[in-house]
Amino acid sequence: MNRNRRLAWILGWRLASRSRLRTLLVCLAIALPVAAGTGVAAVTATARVSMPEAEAGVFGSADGRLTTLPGERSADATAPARLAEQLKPSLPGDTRLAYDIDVLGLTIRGPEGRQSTVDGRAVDLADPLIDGLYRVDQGAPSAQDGTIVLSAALADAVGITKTGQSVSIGSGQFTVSALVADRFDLKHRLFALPPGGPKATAALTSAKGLGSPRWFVTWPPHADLPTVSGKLKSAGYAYVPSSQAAALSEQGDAMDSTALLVGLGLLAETVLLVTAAFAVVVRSQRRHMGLLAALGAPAKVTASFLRTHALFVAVIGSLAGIAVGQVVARVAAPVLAERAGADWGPVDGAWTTSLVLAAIAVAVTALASVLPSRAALREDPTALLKAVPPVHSTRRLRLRTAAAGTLVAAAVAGLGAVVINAGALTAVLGVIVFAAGITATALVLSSFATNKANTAYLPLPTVLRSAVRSLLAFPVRAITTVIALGVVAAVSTTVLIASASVAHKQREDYLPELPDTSALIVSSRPLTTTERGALRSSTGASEVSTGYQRAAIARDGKQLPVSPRTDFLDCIDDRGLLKYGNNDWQPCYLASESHIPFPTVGIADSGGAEALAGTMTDEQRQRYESGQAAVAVTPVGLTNEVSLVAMGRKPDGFVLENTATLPLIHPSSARETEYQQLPAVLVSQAGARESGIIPVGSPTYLLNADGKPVQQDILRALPVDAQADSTVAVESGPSVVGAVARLQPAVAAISVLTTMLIVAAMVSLWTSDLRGEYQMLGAVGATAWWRRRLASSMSGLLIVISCVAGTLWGIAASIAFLTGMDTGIAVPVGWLAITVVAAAITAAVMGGAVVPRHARAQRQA
Amino acid sequence: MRTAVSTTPGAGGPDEPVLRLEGVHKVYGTGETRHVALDGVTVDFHAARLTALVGHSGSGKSTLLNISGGLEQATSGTITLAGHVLTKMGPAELTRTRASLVSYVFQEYNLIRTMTVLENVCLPLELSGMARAEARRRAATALERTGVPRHTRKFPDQLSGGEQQRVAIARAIADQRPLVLADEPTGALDSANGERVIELLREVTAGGVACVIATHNPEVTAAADHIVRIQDGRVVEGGA
Repeated sequence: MNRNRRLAWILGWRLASRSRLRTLLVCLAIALPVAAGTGVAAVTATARVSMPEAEAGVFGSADGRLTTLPGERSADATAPARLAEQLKPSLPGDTRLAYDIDVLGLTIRGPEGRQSTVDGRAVDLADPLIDGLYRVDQGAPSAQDGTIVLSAALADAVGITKTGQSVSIGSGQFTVSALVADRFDLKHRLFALPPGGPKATAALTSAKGLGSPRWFVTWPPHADLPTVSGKLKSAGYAYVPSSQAAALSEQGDAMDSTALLVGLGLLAETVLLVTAAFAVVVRSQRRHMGLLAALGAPAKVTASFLRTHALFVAVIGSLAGIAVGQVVARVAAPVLAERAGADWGPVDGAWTTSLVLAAIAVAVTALASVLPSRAALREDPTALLKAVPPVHSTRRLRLRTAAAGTLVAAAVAGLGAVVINAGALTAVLGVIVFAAGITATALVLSSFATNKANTAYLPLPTVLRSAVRSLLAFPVRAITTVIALGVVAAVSTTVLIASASVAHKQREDYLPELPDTSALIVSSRPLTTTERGALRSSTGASEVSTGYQRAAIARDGKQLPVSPRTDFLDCIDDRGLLKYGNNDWQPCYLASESHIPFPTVGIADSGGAEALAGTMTDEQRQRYESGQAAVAVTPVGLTNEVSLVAMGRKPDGFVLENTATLPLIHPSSARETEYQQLPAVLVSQAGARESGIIPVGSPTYLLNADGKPVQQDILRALPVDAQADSTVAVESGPSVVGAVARLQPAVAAISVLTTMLIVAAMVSLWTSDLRGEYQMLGAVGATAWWRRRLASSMSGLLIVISCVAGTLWGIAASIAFLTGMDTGIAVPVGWLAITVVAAAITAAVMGGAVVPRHARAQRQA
Repeated sequence: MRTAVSTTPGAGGPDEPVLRLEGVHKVYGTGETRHVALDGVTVDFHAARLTALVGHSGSGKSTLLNISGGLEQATSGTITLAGHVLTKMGPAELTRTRASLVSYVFQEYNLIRTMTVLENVCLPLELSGMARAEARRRAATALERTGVPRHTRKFPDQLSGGEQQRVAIARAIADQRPLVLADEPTGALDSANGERVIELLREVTAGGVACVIATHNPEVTAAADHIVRIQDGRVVEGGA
């Protein structure tokens, strides 16, 4: 190491180690955004199912899939080779095909006799066309007859520890060729059996059920897909291209956009915080820089020592940030997953993102040290030795105002573009909006304030006037601090508004099970009128309905439940397939106004109907009882007429059969909310008979009370002989409300705490930078209390200006972002107020606390 | 790459001054804010001579010292230091010249707070290209001469004002540069410490160094070999 570099290292390290408080604060300013970024990246990576993963989980590496239209099991299900021959005339030459068949309820026995009856697939995982369907953890899938692939969970259940061991299905022995996991690490028990061979065919005959073959297909280049699709349709096949996983893609994009927004926001925060922090550090080193120049140190030594110092703190801060972020992610991810009701699997550290974030922080810090030190080194050493920053000219202020105008224009343009566009662009522009907005606001305020400072009199109390004058004496220092603190406020505001808006949306989307004041009793036997009366009096209920039952029709020895055709059922096409990719009901659920996927029809007398749906007029009651009309319980998705549909689910789709179309009565006192546990539509016994509908299941009673009913009390009030096998359900609050809704208070509290920490760090840096001035104020007679008030006022002024600007721009950016994402906006006024008050108190307290107690007439070197 | 600068005092001969200022002007600002700090100063400073630079506050003493050491550029005139014309040099060359020819002692000590006493004294030696071991040896000797040999591992904050100023003088004399410029070196010290500093500077001068002290202190003036009086930027006594 050469002499100059060694000197730079000594000076850089000593500056870090001797000014521990300042080093800690700067490290904090670097570590917090890195920690937040790392945590967000890790949690996002853990929670997120990427589009390629989702596609691979459904389509493997194929272009798409072919499904038989009727959705019924083909007699040739176990002879797919014959089916392939039938298919070939409809396909272009060189089309590659592979198939899988759903296998339901196959019993697999392990070497020690442990057995498990599970679902799986007859599919050749060794076929490259299917590559990616599962993740291979051990071994390699084989195409040979007599081999089988197990998921790790299933292997564990039947006592298989490694590949090469055998399991038995019926009388056949199968060698485990590979252990796999599903793409989402959900620890499902499943198997994959290469079909076609005699052993596999024999094994499949012992399954409880088999689905129709579904074909993985890869087209030759230049295939005319519309023509092919038409041919396939006429042959009884539907083609689902892999691109139809659009819903998943949209969810993935939304998550990407959110992560990108957070990431870019944190990046902007890092840049501005570090820049502001190093502006303070370099300013504090002006005298040392001047001294080094006076002693003959070349400029590169001086610049190098500040850069070295920056690297020290950046590396320490970044590493600390990564460590904290990873710990937070490991603690938060399982909690969030549990709250979200999902299994996210092991935490993905998102190490690449973390390291990139750390590298950016280090680079930004190095740059933040280089720019102000270069500017300082252009000054005369004597100016540096005076340790007073130069006063900027009015020309520079004009330039600054012009820059501010440009930034405001850019911000407004960004805002407009955000409202128009969505997706990743939204995130980028959202960040531009608040970064540019904060900067512009700070610059405008600075120019305005500098002009105002020229007035002879400021109508303020002495301390506050002195504070304003002190701030305006160093406008650049004030600007950098306002920008940094403003960004903190903007990020905090964005986080609060975004989390509150998502929480609000999730609460709105939540569908309650039952009304708060009702209980649903599924009784093991019908209750007599006397028993219902006793139940009402012993529980204090206002009403206990007459019993109702679910409606069904009998087909092929099965009972198919009857549902009203709502807009959700419109999602099922005439072939019994859902309109979205691969029979995935989630997009239908999201797209439908009536959120209940399969709302049922109930059969009840008019008393029961009125207890559930509301009071009917005499005319309505008569029409209902005579079977000429049905009554609506749910207010959503139904018009004045309802089609009652019998619905059966098959492995490859649904069977729908219209049973009757009836006028629908909407009682005037009907409920305004939709409840998951209540039937959507009721028909009378007469109406059911006319439509060929039969009552099935246990009689169910709705108990309406004045307050929230107690489950145990109701159960105890049932007849003794009915208590054991009856169930009582009451509304137990949101059960599957999203994680954000539940964690929103925690998110808000963390946001407030983080804001307080950063404000404390920045204000401490600011105040420590002015130690000399405070000491000299003491020397000219200012009491310690007065100096503390002055420091508190300055910090308070800074934070108030920053918070006002930051919060406004944070709100603007949030509105832009959420509008782009088509999400309603909820402004958590309370949390915003708490953040601002907490920040102001922190600033005032820290500002006063760091003021030196002792007076000193001379500025220390 | 740092090029060596000749350190021969008065490169023109033994009677030549170490530092010569000829018709030096220094003007700050323009228009209404124009201020003439030095107005045609011509003065010589010789080796082995302690020169006291006296005058009222604002007379131009500190400016003269700063310009003499190349910390500031003169507006016009010629400054020759050990045969090198400072007024023709750029900032980088001035830095190199300072590293080999000029030592400073400041009123406020100006030690680097993040370096130990020994490191502070070693700093100019290492900057002038000296090997580390040799620099430490010379620094230790200088600290011994100035009476603070036991504080080598301490940081400046842990020393008294007098001790800090003695460390600053040790830093100035360790490298035996031909010109020592001191700006009010006793200004922040009590009389006992002030006397000790004057003694030290006299010792340094006796070693062949040209020592220029800007001062208000009559004791320093009394101890000086030569007095240069400045008034309103002009040398009114002791000029060339």
